[in-house]
Amino acid sequence: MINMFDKIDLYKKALDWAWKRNEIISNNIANADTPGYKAKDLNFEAYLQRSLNQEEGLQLFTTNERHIKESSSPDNSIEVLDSSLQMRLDQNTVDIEQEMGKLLQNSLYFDGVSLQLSREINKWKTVIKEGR
Amino acid sequence: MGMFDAINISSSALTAQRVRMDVIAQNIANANTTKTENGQPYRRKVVVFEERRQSFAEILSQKIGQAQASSYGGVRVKAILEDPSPFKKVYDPTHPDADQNGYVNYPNVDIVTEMVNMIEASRSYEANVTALNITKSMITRTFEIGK
Repeated sequence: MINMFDKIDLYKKALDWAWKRNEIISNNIANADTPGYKAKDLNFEAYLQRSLNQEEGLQLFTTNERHIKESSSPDNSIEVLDSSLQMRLDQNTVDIEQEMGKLLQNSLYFDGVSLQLSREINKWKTVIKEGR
Repeated sequence: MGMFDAINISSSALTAQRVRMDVIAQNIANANTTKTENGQPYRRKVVVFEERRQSFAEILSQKIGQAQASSYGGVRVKAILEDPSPFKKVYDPTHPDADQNGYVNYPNVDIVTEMVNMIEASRSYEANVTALNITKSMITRTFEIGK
């Protein structure tokens, strides 16, 4: 039988990702007039993969608790530079229209996932209350 | 990642755009100032932005794997510099600040440029307000999980 909270955990990670992405897009918009700033984004697969791995193990063996943990290896695949965009004269790559679009998409995605999560929780509530 | 990090990012941008707006207003107000405290005409001022970097502690904890991804600090005003372009020379011998040849140095402020920059600053401000509102709606949405 599957774990009762597996699905909830998955939704949690999806919400985590959208939350982080909102922060990154906000940062892009904040730096729309900063010379030399490069627009960033978040890689969904890498983020999900890594947050799933973190709980399931595959840790490096360490003989001392102060040894550097496996997850310390710099993982650049999570944050990606948005290379599709054209660079302006001041070497800034923020495209404000695209960023606003991404921001809206991300917030709708967040709303959707949190709605799903609420429904999942309500299902369990129904079970606990024996359908009453 | 903190709950209000995204709000701090957007509000840092609001502050930066506000400073920019202040400087533009100062430029427009002094568009005809032929003598400032140092005896020279007013020089146009330009705001330079830079990305606000995270603190050393944040980078360290990220490197030893305590944080999932780097956090962001938004934007800040790096400096307010003077535009080195030459003053506008206008022939007006009746002006009290005219030199012996009758020329007056006027500030290197171009009203049209300032107006365009002002519109840009106000649009950027609006974009950041939108980002702020979206973050707000996301936060209120999390409070409704399970309802």
